[in-house]
Amino acid sequence: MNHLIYICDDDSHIVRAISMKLRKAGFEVECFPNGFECWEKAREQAPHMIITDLQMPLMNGLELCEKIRELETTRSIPITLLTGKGFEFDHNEYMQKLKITNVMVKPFSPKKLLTQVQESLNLTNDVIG
Amino acid sequence: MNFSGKYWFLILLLLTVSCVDNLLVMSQIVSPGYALIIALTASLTGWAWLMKSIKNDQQQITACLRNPELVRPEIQRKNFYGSVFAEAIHKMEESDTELSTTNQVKTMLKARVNSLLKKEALVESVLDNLETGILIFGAKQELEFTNRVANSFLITASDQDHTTSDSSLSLGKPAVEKTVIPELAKLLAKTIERKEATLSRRTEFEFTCNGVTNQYRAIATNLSDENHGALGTVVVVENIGEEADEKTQHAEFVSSVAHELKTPMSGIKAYIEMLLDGDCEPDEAEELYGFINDQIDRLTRLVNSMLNLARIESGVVEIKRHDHELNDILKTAADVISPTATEKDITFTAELSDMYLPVFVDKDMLGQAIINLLSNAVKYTPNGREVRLRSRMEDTSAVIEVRDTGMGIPENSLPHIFDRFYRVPENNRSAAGTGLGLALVHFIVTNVHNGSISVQSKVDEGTCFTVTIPLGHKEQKRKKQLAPPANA
Repeated sequence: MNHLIYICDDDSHIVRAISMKLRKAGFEVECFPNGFECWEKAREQAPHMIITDLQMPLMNGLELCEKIRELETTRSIPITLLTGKGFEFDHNEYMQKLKITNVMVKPFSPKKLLTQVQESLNLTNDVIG
Repeated sequence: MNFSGKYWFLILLLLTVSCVDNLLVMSQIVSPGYALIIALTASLTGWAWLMKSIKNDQQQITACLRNPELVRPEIQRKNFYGSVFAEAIHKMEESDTELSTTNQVKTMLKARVNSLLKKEALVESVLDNLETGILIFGAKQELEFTNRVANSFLITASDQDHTTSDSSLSLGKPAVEKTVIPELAKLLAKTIERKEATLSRRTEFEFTCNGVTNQYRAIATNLSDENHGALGTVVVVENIGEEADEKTQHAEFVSSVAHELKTPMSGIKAYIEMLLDGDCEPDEAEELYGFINDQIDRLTRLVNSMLNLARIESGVVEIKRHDHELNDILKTAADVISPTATEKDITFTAELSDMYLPVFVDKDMLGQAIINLLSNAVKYTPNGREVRLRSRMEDTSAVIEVRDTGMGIPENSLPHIFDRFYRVPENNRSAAGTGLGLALVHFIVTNVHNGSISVQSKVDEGTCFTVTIPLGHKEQKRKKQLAPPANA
């Protein structure tokens, strides 16, 4: 069974680029334009991993993380947070508090993101696909 | 007659009488006995007259000495006592001058004191109306003066220990910590202690007054006279809450701009990396190149809009105001925004006035302002709702209305929406923005076109921006004024 990954970003190009990269690597991908829609879907069907932007309408990345950690079925799934913020965002604090697996600062490399996804899911290239 | 006249008149009288006497005796008209009686009678009469005249003069002098003001003109003349009285009169005049000088000095002092009191009241009133707190301490650290704002930094009687609750005493006490708040007392003590090293010191602190907490900056400066003798210390306290707010807003703006710039950059980087790695098929690659192009356009637009605001506000951009028809500008703006509205399934209607609305405007700038308003309306209106653009004539103005049925602006945000970098916290998350759009609109409408802009809004019902621009063409008017009369 392919791993299901939810990608959540209000920028359609970022969502498209990540989903292309992950699909080619053999992952099943579902995309959402804001945190709220992603959370709604996660309640119905828990993914294996979530990649989310920080600043989004309706529900931002941190709020989404909080909700995900509250929900029994999604409590332990890996989360990668994408952010355009730099020094003003305390990565460590949120990583500890919300158990965010990775933080990637924009502009990021899709290749590195893919590696992180694989590491988070404890996969090697041999296993995927 | 003056005193010498009287004197000579008497001598002449006596000489005449003695000559007449001698003639009468010589011509044997009268006997020597009779002549002697005549001479004696004349001498006694003359003497009596002279004595009476001198007595009169004495009385006048005495009167003059008793009350110099009354008989000044008459006393100017000399009398029988000659220089003795002249000197007395002179002395009296001198003492009189001194007396009048003292009076003059008194009057001058009174005037000076009055003018100083007026100046003091003026200075106090000026200081009291300052938004900055001023506290002046004497050389012994006693509080000499505080203005209205600085009064809130004083420790009132009720704040003090019960044993020192006498407020009238507390103001003059050298123990500064009993009169002013600890932050200022500490600053004052340090400033005085380290006066050799530096003339003034500053500190920043937080202080709550009437339940409102604010950030303050206090600067204490030692005062000295010409001989470097210590006069005291002045403490100036400024509320830097707004400054701090501005800094926060600026930091938020930079963060927001960074986010806006990084988003398209992320897309470009991701696509290029995938193209380099050969992750996509040829037809996909072509699509990615198209996306990269779009993202670069988006970056350019963003940078341009930021530059635009900076350039328009700083006056670098030349304002090109010409005669135009307002509805033409509104139609162009509506055409720009219409596709975005359609994309969001928003019903966008332009109800433009049937009348010709002549305006003297910079077409591009005003167009940009209207596009900004319409773009905001579309951005903050949920899918499927409505946005309306209207124009009409009202008195001497053309009125433009941009009405949406969006999420609305909370009442407490309304006074700030035209501030640079301000974003409505409640709506912040619903759409991306830099907080510059409305600031630019406000500047273009009010500063460039002498118009006005107002906003009415209700949360969850919608927002209506009303722009007024003065009506009338100016170029045609000028041409008419300059052109020679047709029948000339």
